[in-house]
Amino acid sequence: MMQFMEGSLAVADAVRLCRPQVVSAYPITPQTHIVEALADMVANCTLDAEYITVESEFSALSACIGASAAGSRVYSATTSQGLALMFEVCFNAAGMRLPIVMTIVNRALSAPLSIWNDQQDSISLRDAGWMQLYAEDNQEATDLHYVAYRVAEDHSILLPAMVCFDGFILSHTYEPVETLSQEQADAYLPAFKPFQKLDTADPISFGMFASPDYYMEFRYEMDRAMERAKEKIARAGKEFGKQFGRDYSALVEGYRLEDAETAFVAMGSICGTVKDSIDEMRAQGKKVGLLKIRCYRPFPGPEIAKALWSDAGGGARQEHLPGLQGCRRPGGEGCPLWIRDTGVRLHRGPGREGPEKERYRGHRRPGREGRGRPVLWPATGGASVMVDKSLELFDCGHRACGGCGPAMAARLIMKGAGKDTIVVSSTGCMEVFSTPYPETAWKVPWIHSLFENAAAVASGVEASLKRQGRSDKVVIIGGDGATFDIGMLCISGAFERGHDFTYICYDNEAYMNTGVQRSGATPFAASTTTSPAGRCSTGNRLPKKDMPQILAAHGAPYVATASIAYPADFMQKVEKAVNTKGPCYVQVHAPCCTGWGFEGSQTMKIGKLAVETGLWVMYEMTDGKVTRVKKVVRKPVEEYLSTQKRFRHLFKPARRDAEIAQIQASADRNAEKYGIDIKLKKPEQ
Amino acid sequence: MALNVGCSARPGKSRANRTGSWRVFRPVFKHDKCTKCGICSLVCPEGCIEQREDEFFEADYEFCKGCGLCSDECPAEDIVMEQEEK
Ligand SMILES: Cc1ncc(C[n+]2csc(CCOP(=O)(O)OP(=O)(O)O)c2C)c(N)n1
Ligand code: SF4
Ligand code: SF4
Ligand code: SF4
Ligand SMILES: [Mg+2]
Repeated sequence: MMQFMEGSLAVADAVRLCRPQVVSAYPITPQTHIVEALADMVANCTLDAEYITVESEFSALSACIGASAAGSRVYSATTSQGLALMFEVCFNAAGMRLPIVMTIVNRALSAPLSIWNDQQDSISLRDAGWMQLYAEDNQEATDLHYVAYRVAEDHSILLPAMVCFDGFILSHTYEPVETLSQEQADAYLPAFKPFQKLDTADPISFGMFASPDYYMEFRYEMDRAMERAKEKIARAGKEFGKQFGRDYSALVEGYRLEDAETAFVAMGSICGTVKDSIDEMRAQGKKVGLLKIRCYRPFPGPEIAKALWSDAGGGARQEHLPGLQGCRRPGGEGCPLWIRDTGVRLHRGPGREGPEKERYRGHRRPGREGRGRPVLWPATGGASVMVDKSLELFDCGHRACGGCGPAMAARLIMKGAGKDTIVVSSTGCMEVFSTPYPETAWKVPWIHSLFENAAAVASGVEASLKRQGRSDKVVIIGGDGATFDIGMLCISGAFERGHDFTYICYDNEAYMNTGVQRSGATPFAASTTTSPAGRCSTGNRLPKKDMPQILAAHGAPYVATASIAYPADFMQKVEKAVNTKGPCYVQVHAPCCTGWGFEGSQTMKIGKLAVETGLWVMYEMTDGKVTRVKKVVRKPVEEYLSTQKRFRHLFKPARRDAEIAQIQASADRNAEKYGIDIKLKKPEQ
Repeated sequence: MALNVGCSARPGKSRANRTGSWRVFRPVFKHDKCTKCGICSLVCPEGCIEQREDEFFEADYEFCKGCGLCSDECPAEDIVMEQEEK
């Protein structure tokens, strides 16, 4: 049906017809009209999707990762600053081979702050492993979304795609657009069939840690998928043309190039303007033409060369004026379309390999036969039973240090949570020691994306499960650094939204994976590599942040602290949290022999001492109120401090009474606040 | 070896990594004063202590890293750490 529509609304309409099951986006000009329109559709039941109102673009794409991995078709849209904030997540989504489709409403990057169009935002991510299609007008912007989903989800491709169209110039402009009916859209784009997904019946670990030779192989696989995508885009574009009369099979498109002596090379809405100019210049007898780049990633090097050399008459005499977008590259030549920088040397003839391919030559492949190829796994069945604590869901062979508290925590968490659980991990010791590719220790579905986004990924997983009517439990396991520090944004947003998950922070009181640096959970006076004790330092100057209170203030229905030194109590708290609806938080004290400086055989003893001295309090909070506290006959804090090298400077070379007294005072305050003291009857005198 | 799409893997593979080779001390389960309480099995960070048919516990030396936690926590002091002969 032909309609006169604003570009944003035409795109939103196409997205609706693509039937995304989870939409996760954050507003930013000039993308807002798209996400507002989608929210309106969800509110009016014309789009049957979970719409996650995230607190940032960083979480928006992170949630898409979780939702896509859990088996839903997902959608996001952003631009400019928002896309820049997603930078890290973009690479991650591509590496995990998740077919996310995202609209980029191209806009300039600050400073100076500008909401107007250029393409520097998406161009900056050209090497992130996303396909990038650029639209000249709103019709093309609309149609390319169908093409993008179709190619991204093709099991021989599995790469995310950006559909880019120019902010304001297209997004806020009214043009006649031919829209599809749902039947037409369905006929072109079949329902989403995930290649693999987080599934308790067939537990797979996603986003593992790869050694350099594996890493190289995986990047190479991505590059090959990109190469295959060229043909798939061409075919999908042709099929679109067959069904709806608008053919997008050309990755690059020439306009009056045949005998051109000068060729403009451009992409996006400017192509329309250039075409008009060419017509005028041609009328003046100037032999000019345009080469429009529709597909920028995969980069159509040979196609460009062919269009400019063999198809056009100009040959080597031809002059090329690349780009013409508004965005100059500081310190680079010209604009981002300056061809020399985009991977193909145009002074070579067609059919020769460009540097993109050559890059891989000479790279050593690991000692395996042939090249790695994707494999399809047969699904295995599995019936669910009640939580059985004798089940071992965390396997032997992981690479934690002997006596590692967090490794104990992993086992106990899984015993408490049970096998119908999907685990989302943050980057850190536990993630690295449990999943060096391909040796996963997890017997439940498990996903790791980044250091700071586990709560957002889990939000997406939960929304995805909800949409599919699945009832698996979602458990996040994050280190104290991931939780107290860098993950706060995502955690706050996720708890506020009230997703049904359990967040477990294994607290080893520093960044262990990167070599024992201080975190917001590091206790006062502990020596770490970034808060070292020294001649004029007594270690970490700051007290531990009160994370449980922060999350209770978010309205978490159940918050608990625990210790691996009390395994039964810990497992019970995990089980309770997992079976409480809404976002629950459990923080488990997990002594780290390597980082704290003690023998691995002492992990339990040290955990117990922390509790017995009142430095670690174990309690439960229901709806913000402390309901149960572990009481102890308190010991002096010295008994705990003197067992660990991180506090050695408090005793040697000279005893530091002031600091020890300060630590004792904090234990006393804990005891007072939570009422942990068991009052012993004084013996009769 | 074929690569799995997106650097993913299925369970069981970590068992290829025989961490028993890390061991310097070996926990020897005496089965003498043992009360079969199961604490050793619960606290082992490797999860490599299993109950046998006769209900006594035993470490899987393919994976036991010799950390000594089980020995330290055994209430019956029935697990003794002995230097590995290499
Ligand atoms: C954005 C980002 N910054 C820094 C890092 C480096 N990094 C990886 S793990 C880690 C520390 C993890 O600390 P924590 O969450 O406490 O887990 P632990 O290793 O102590 O178990 C850091 C700093 C990273 N991966 N990503
Ligand atoms: S450094 Fe600490 S947390 Fe990391 S594996 Fe070793 S003991 Fe475990
Ligand atoms: S902890 Fe000691 S007493 Fe208990 S089962 Fe193990 S060996 Fe036996
Ligand atoms: S020594 Fe450590 S790794 Fe070995 S069985 Fe005992 S607790 Fe487990
Ligand atoms: Mg930590």
